[in-house]
Amino acid sequence: MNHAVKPALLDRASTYLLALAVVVFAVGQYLAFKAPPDAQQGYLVRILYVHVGAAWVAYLAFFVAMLFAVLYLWKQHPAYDRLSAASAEIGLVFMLLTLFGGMMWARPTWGIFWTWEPRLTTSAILTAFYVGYFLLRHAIEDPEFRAKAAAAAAILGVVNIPINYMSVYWWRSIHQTATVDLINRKTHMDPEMLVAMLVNLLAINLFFVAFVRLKGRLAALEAAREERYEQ
Amino acid sequence: MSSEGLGVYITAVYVATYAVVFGYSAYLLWRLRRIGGEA
Repeated sequence: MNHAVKPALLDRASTYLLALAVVVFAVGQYLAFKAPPDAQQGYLVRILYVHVGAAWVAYLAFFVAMLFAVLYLWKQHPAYDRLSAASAEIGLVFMLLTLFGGMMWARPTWGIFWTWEPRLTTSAILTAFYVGYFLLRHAIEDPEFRAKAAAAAAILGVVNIPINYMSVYWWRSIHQTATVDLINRKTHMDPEMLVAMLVNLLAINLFFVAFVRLKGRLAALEAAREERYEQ
Repeated sequence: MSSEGLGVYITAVYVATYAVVFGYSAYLLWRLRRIGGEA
């Protein structure tokens, strides 16, 4: 008997990446709950173990969306547009998670869920920008024009990232400065807490890479289906 | 604030994080399976 061979939906690299992300995340969660309470924040510091990772991956995803947008404008290949959109979508999901985590941390720390201080305001602008990016994509029907307009938006969007990151230094307000200070290359954390945060950060990065691969593949299959319907 | 009071906020953040990483993984795999079935 002859069976038609269907292409594998999940390639080997994506499967391993996803499995590795789950394992590293499990280790990160164990370390996060094993780490001692902070001298000032107490157990509330546990929020930072995932909040910092989510924020970092949102930045990374928007940056990767910009790189694929540049590649699209250069090579004019639709795959780059799909990967740019995939990365932007994942960035937006993690940005929303960052905002939620921040609000849950702010309520017991500052007594309020939200305040229009510089870091929160620039985070809201960054989020709103990428909501606008997807509205733009949905508003344009012509695939080529949509890809070009979205690429321009994805390139423009990354301007918000350094402003958002530096906002805690440029306009000192109630939000604490970076937990891991990339500019002065120092951290304010106990080594045990730092390891817990970095392992969770690594896990969320692995999820991001796996998500971009899966979402890119999904978008390619959807585009192929649309082409079949149009014929 | 007491540790019990903080637990609500910590739990909310971890539940949201699990929902994103596992929920989004499941969503993508489900969509891939669905669209792959149509091919």
